[in-house]
Amino acid sequence: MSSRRTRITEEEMNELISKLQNLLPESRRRNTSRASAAKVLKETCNYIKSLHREVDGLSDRLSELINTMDNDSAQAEIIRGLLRS
Amino acid sequence: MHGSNTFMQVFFKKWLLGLKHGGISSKNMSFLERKRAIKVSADIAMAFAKHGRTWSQALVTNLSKQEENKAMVNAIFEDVEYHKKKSSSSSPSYHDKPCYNTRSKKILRRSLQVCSMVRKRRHKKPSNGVGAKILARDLVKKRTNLLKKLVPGGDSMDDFSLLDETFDYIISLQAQVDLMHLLAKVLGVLNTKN
Repeated sequence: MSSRRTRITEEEMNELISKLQNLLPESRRRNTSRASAAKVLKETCNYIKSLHREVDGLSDRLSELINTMDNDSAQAEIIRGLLRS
Repeated sequence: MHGSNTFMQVFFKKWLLGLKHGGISSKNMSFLERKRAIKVSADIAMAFAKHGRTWSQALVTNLSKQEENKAMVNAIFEDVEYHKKKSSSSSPSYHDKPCYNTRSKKILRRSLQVCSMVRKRRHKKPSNGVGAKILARDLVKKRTNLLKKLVPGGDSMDDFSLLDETFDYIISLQAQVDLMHLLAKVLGVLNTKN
């Protein structure tokens, strides 16, 4: 790793924390003033976990949807076409 | 919908490639096998579309550790050399940035302080503010460590890079959710009998 150090200002750090805060679902509902770093970190962790759960749930649903397609239907043919090159 | 058009296009295209490679339209697959193929191909495609990011490289490395994923990784990344040449990613990569460990930790601590005046604690006299500051700093430390475990490759990142990578990772996850919703909607519509 390089031994050269570049200054990261407090402002840059706070900007990043603010940017992250704006990504969180709660912040979209109301015009929130800046929350503490601790709060943003907590909400960020919770949000990532919920996104992971959502992806997992959607994978379940997609697996189910593909499974229940009637094999001879036009619908299945479209999907198979989509999944071919 | 989140994500730029190009990112979404690349993501979706590579995901479909992965799905095809995983043979998910075959009736011989079990529910769980299919689900796994869907999820893994989505993750690899997402990482491919965000090639160059620390988190995406770590994600691919982690997935490649499992033998059953290697073929799909190869299938999706087959044109990675081409992708590197064409790379015009506007988002900067922090790979070559040096470590800001000490300084960024100090800044995080400072941003929590109630009082804007920074005083060195030379006196042994306890005051209400000091205890709260110590707790706040420890809380940030604890939560930062939790975040490191959630973001791929987070363990080796300094605090500034961690926040930056987290931002990009969340955007990408939101896009992944959007794409999966979209496909589920399309399949759902196609599945309804008239």
